[in-house]
Amino acid sequence: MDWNATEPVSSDCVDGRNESDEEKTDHQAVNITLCGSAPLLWRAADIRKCREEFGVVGNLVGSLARQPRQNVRLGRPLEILQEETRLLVETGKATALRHQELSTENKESRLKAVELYKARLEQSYEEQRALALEEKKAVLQRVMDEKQNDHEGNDGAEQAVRERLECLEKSFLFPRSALAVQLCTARAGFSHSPEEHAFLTADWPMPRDKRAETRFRVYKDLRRKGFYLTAAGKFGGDYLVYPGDPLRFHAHFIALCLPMEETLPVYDLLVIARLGSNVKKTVLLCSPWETSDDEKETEGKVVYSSLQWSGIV
Amino acid sequence: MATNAIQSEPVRIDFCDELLSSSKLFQSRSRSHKIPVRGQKEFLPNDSERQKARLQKILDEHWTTVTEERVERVGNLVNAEWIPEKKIVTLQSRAGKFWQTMGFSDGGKQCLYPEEALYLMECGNVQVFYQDLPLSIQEGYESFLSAETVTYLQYQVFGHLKRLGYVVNRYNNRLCNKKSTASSEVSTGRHTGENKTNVQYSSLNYPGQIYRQIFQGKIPRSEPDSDGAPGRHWWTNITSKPQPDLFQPSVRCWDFSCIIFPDLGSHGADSACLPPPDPSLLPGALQVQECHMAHWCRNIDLQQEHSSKQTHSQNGRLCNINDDRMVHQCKNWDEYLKLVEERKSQQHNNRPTHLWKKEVLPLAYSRKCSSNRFYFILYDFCLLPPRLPDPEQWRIDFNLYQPDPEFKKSNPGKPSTRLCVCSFDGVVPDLRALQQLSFQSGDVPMTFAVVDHGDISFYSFKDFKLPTDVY
Amino acid sequence: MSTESPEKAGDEGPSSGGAAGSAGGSRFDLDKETELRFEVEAGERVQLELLSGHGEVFGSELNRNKKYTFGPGSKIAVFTWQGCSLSLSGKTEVAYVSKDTPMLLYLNTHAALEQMRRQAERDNERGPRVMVVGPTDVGKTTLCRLLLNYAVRLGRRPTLVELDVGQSSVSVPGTMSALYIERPADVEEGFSVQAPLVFHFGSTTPGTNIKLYNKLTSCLAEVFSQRCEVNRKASVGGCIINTCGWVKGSGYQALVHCASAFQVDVVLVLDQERLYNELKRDLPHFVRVVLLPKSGGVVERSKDCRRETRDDKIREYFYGFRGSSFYPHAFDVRFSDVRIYKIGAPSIPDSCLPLGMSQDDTQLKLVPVSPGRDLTHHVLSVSCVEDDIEGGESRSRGILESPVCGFIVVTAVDTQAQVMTVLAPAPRPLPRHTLLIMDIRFIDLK
Repeated sequence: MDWNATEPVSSDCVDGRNESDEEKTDHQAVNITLCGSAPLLWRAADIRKCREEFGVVGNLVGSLARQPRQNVRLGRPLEILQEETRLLVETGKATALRHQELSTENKESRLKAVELYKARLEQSYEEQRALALEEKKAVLQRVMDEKQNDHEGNDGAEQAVRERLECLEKSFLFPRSALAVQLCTARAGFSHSPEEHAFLTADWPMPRDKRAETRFRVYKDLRRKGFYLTAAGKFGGDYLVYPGDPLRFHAHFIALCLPMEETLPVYDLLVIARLGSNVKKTVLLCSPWETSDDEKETEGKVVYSSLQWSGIV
Repeated sequence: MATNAIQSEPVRIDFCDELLSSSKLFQSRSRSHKIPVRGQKEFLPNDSERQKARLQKILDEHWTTVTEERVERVGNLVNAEWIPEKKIVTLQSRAGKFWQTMGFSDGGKQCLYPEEALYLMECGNVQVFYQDLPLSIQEGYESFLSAETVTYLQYQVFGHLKRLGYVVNRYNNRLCNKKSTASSEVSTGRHTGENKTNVQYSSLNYPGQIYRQIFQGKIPRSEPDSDGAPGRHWWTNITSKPQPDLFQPSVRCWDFSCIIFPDLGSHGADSACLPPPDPSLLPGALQVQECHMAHWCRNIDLQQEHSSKQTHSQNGRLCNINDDRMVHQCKNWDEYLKLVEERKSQQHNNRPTHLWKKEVLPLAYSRKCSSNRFYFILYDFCLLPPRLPDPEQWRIDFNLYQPDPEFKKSNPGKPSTRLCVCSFDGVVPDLRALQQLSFQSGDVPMTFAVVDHGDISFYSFKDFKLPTDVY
Repeated sequence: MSTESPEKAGDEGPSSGGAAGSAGGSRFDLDKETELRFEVEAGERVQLELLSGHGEVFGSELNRNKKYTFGPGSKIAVFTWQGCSLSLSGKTEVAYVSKDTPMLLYLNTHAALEQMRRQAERDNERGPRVMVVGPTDVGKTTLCRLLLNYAVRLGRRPTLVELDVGQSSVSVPGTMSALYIERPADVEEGFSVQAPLVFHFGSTTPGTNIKLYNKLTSCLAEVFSQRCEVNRKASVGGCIINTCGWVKGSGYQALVHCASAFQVDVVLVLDQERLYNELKRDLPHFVRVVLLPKSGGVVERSKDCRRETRDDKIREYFYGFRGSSFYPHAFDVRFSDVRIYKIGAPSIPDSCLPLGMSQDDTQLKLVPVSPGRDLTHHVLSVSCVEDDIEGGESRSRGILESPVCGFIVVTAVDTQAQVMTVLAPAPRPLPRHTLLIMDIRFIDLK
């Protein structure tokens, strides 16, 4: 908990479009936290940055704040692929963090934080009360104005309005229960000292086996070619490949990652080909070239093949 | 405005940029709850302005909804506290409507399971505190979800189904097993309905009542056709009225020495001569002569000699059941059937009566189940160690109930399905695991929830009957 | 098989049926305790008239000066206790008078049963429960009809339990049924079939699903016992159980099961001493097993003949006796409106069964049948089970053990339109929507 770090701040940074924010997020690495083995992004700014700058789409898995009880649209956190995580981390765009234990702080700083939280709540109450009063006044004023327009030339009216407003000021009651509070989505702040940060930086949990390696190389290559990728477990493949942002475009391909030297029975090949025709997508067999030290130029090269029925009747 | 005053305060670099100002909080009470609609997707990007504009519009909406924070009025929030040692969340203010389907009482306190608490946090119903500070959703995910409670994968399925409105609870409350007897209330509350075997056997009541009604003329019939054309109706009513009286079936046996049947097989039948029966016993008060049986004995089909050997080998027993003294003592069917029943059960087991004949019934009768099923029941109730390799790999995670306003946690009834959560990265359960799970599940279907990066697909394995020619 | 050759002794009239007389037909004068046996030639009809004296057909009395018509293939015996004169007209295959009938033994059997009913009435007990057993073609059905007729003529109300799924005298073949008898059988038509309790078995031989056969036997026994508890007259009247001619192996076991399910008091074994001895051995001593001879008039029926009788029985269900009294209805039924099941899954090797399941379970399983062309001409039972019963296990139990409220025959199937045309005894709609398929087919030709 880092309430001490988050002195009451307010700005229009919520939508993250404010200039100073952009500057900030620029030099600030994306935080990826691991929940189990799932890499999650929590901060809206991180999510946005990943999509807009790195083409990381991912999948929102939480309930949507404005309408939590439905599955059509989901909200934060965003789960991303292991390959995406690896690429982001390897290119220094992101830090992967183990999640922080709740009780890592000492008692003293904890107490301080609680105090701060309470004070902030109190402050928020006062401010909201003031805002509520302002609003009420504005409403009253408007009603009175309308009335005044109806009965022109009534001098006593202005006086009456003033009286009513004063009265309102005195008697205005803003119940505690009406206080609006924020239920934070992301952890409130990351004020880890560099040492702490290093401590929390996650051990890479992803198994670096042949398969993971193949997937990673295919991912990199497809990303470089400008495609957007999402998981394709439902389709029995490794990635769904989109020509543009998945929000607007249909996926064209189902990518299946196969190491170059792997032999594939015809049977499996047919199964794979049939797979795509059912959902009107082309199945891509993606095999990265084997890299050897002296063949630097083939590094990262991936061969894509697809199966097509050849109509000899 | 108050906000302006605060803005000038110094800001540390790594501050959380997602804390809302008071004014934002205040404004959010009037914010939209609508979900923006996304149009039809397109096939190929063509760099046209129209396409770009559309994408931008959708992205803007997307960021608005994604960025939006939960803001709730204090009055609408239930406060709760996270107890990491017990891995539960205790409520500190009165529970809301969710209490009907979630939570449990432990030592007079209202508690929530971590997955329930997290879901309610996401719904904006509950604010969970730890050491007097509220937890963010992220902290909820990070602290609540673990192998000891529910995993991230399991929570995704849980949340998905809860959002759809289902009632979901843990299948096997592993927490309860771990916890000491102090929270026995938890386990009793939770385990109701899990004693599958008991439910199954007790529900086998014979629906004899129905037949009685039908035989007495309550057979449903279609409307008689009014046009008078004669046609057979569906079976019609029985006309006679039942005459319930004091008749009590009693134990009795016929004295066949007084009731004389013309039995050709009896000893001396060939020379017997039946006296003429009392005319009052005969229709139309017939008067007939005595009946000589000798004539008929000659005509009977004498298959006895040449077939006796075959019969014996066929039936595998030579003895007359009436040679048995016990059988011979039976005077009627009731006594005889009782004897047979007793012998049958004696054959099967010499069970101590205090275990098998009292109110407390065994979980399973070995007679009623084949060895395998019996084994699974015992395994289910932790009476036997698992013999399958790594039974933990496949286990039932949740019970799913249809949304029902009458739902009772204490008596949830039969789940509509049970769920096993797995991942696309994992292996496919082998047939043995499938069988094991479906046995554990009893007569409730099993569904596999397969999670792939937030995408959840539900699969179930079905006994498939090959369509065959039925004739 | 007739044990005696057509006998001319005591035959005072013209002996052969060929000589159909012009006015009154052939005249037969019968001595007391003799019977006239005749078979009607295929495609012919024969009229019988009692001219004087008393005569009965399987226990139903003939009225004087009333003409009784018997259709082709009928095998009739007119018995007289006191002597009578009869007139026959029409083509008969054989017609002869026989002195050699076991009627006196049957009458004595009835007298014993009646004695039991009397005793039951006096002691507030239940009346005799009688099981009639024997191989095929020994006159089991005839003996049942005789005993029931005698009983009902004395004011009793016996129940006929029909377990012969091949040749049911109550309902269509492939069913097991119980019928409460309130009046003697009609000489021509047999017992009036009003509100019988009918269970669906689905095949003409118990061997196709012996488990189901035994189960339904128990069901009938249960219902009958319940009825006896509330209806004193039914209890005193007792029941006469007609069984199948299958008396070996499982068929025999089914008989023993039936005896115990109904808790029978008397078993009448027709003609087979071996069966008699076996039953004496396997049934407890308090069950009276009686060996009776078959009648010389009983003839063996060919397979074709049995099939024809079955066909006639189904036709009679829809069109009434001799196809004249009822008018069935034909209408379309949408596949989606009905659920069709077959009882009993095809047997599979034990090794293929799910763990813990035994083969027996499959015999009582309901297998949904998807409607298709092959459904055409099949007889379907309309189950009484409530349409809205839900739940897998409990539901199948309900259907299995529910009586049938009627039958339909699928006359045409249109897979395109997803409808089938059915022949039904009453106009649409179907009273219930759970249908059970029979192995039996009926092609409506006449």
